[in-house]
Amino acid sequence: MGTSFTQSGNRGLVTLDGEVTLPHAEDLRRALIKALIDTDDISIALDGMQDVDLSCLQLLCSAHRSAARLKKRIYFAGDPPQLFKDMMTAAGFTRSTGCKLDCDKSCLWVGKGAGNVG
Amino acid sequence: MSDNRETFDDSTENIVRELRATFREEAYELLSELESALLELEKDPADNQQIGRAFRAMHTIKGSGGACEFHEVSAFTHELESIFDKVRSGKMTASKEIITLTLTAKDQIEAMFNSYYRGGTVDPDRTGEILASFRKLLPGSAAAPAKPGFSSQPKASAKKEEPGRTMTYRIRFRPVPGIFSQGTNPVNLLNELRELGKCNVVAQTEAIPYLEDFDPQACHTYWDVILSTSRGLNAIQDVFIFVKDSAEVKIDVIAEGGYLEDEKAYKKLGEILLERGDLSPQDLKKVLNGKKRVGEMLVETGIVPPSKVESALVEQQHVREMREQRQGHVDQGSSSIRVATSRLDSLVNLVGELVTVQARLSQTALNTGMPALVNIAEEVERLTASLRDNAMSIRMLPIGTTFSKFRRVVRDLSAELGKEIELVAEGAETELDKTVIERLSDPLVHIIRNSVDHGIELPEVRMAAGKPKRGTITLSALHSGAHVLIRVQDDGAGLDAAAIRAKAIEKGLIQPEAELGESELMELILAPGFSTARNVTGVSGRGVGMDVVKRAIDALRGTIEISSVPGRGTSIMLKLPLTLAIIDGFLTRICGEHFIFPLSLVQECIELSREEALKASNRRLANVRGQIVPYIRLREYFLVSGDSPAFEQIVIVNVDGRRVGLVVDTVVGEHQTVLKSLGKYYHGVEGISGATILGDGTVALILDIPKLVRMVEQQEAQMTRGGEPS
Repeated sequence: MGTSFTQSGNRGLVTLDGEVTLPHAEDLRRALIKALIDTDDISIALDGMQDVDLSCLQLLCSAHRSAARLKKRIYFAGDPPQLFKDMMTAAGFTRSTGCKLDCDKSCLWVGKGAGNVG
Repeated sequence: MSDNRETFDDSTENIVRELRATFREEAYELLSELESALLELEKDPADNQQIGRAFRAMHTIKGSGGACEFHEVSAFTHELESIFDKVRSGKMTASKEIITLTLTAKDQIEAMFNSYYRGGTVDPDRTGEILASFRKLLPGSAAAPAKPGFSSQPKASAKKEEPGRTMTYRIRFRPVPGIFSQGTNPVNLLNELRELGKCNVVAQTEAIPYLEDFDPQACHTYWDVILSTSRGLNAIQDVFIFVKDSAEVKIDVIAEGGYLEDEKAYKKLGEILLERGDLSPQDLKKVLNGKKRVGEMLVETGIVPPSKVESALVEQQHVREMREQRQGHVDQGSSSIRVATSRLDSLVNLVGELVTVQARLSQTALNTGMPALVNIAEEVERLTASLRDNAMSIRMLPIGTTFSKFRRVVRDLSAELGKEIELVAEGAETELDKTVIERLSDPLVHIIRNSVDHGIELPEVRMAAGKPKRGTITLSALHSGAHVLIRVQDDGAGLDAAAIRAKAIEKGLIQPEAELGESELMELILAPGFSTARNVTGVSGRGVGMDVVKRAIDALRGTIEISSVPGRGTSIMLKLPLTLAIIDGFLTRICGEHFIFPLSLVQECIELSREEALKASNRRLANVRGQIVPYIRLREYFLVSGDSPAFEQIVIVNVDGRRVGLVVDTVVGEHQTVLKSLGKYYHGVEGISGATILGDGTVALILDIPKLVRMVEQQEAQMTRGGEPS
């Protein structure tokens, strides 16, 4: 996997490429922490993703909660690829309302994926 | 008390017996489905559709087998399924070895079913051997042996679970944080649940920590699943069987099919949350006093996290949808039902009786000459005919149900003989009476084995002959009037006419100087004891092949046609009647006795005057438009007393491609004939295949023409030999 973080002023872009799976989860966590420290507005690009698992979904969820606590924004750059949406559906992450920290209604899982029906 | 218990045990036993009886057909269908998927998968080991098909078949065998208390089958298939799951998840490829082993495992499961359904035996050691072979093929030591039972017994539901009935379950699956390190991906388990039925999954994410405290190697999520399935609690427990020590699994039945139809609404949100233990009664009371909706209030006040409210709402919606769907099913009625074959047989028997009685009614009505009664009789005749056609159509099955068996035969034998052969099946949807299909299976297997063994050449021989390396056997079926034509065609070496001739002379089947046409020569291979294979192999060539096929096809009142082109291949065509229960007959009479010919064999009828008969004297040959046709006098054959009329009738039939006449007094005409067996005392009577009851209640014998002709020929041959000067 290749996780890269680029910064432009107050904005950050975290790009997830290749296999975004458990063996690479720690790299992703570090990249997200750096993005949250250095910038206030973070977009996550998933287009180059080739594989994804539950560990990535958990990390993104954690990143969103961390951002909400810090009053920062984190969101997807564009519509996530189908591969990612399929994993969201398979893992039951899709939902209609965000968590209690989601004050600005920016939950990553709301209104995406194919619902939670298997 | 003890009486009550006995009654209960008996009824449980009865339920299991009934379930097993209902499952019988399905069990064999599933095995056939599994075999067929595996054989397809062998062609393209990366075909996910076939992997899924095989997996689903295993899964259903396991689930339904368990529900019918075939514990051995269930446990074995469970192991098999968990190994095959590695193929499904891409951790292993569907190699030839895996497929061969899985096919062997399928045979073992079949033996297990046979031991109950067909009185066969099963070798228990074989089960262990197969699993051991599988484990050797596994990457690492990933395959943990399955242990029966489920230690973290879920709280039993108040509602009674019945196998086969769709129930809705609420499952809370909470894995330990370290579950990833044990090699388990919880999402795979969720996917397995989805395969059991309609499933809603909501991940509970409120425990996911902030990034600084986040352990990337841990699972911080747990799940609420609402699942509607007819596969029973065991099937759900089986999904979690390998994680019973690393997950907390709580399963409750929340709705069941049938009982609650009249309850339009499902539980309220608060009730669901209370039941789940996500909300205390006190907190619920607090929010109920508010003016907003309960869900909103709970989230606003922070009493219940939004994901839990969402999960409860999902449950509400799921159950509502299931009820609507069920209601829809009740309204529409189900599209198909499974019926025991014995019931169908008894229906066909009853229809047969009805046809007979109806014929009597029609005749009696005609005799009385009462127009009103004749009208009723005609009405009954019309209805009976359509009832008969309907009952017959119920027994029809697509012949494709047996095709997978043939594919397996070709696969296994070609591997054994080092040949490359593809079996192409055409017309699998062609329908044929179930009994015919069952009795056709063995002869077809034999023909196909012959094609594989003697027909298709070894790859190097084929290539040397400029043919593709891979041989093809085409199995096709199609309807032709009241018959089904089944053709087995190969692109092999073809039959060796000279070898057949030499062998037939050697065996004394023909005289060295005999002149035979091509089809006559080919048909010699159907003679008893004939085999041209130079070596006796384990596959065929033991000299007991094609005559057995011939006898089986004769018994089905079918015919065999063989054609072959040297170097290009052989084609064997079987022509079979659609059904065995009712046939179109041709009714004749000799004095007061009635005889029925199968109409399919009858070609024409001509008169035989007493003068002609006398002129022919012992030669018994009729001149039909310049062609000499030998005939048999049935009056003499059956020793019917009385004088023959001045003009008799010769019914000319086609027996194995030859025209033979059978002399009767009078021809009555076509007759819908319901076949009745003659009873065990008359089993040995040759030349008669059964009997039927005519409209006036008299019995008519149904002639087994090919056998009758053969017997007369044999008798004559003996007489000729006996009459020769010594």
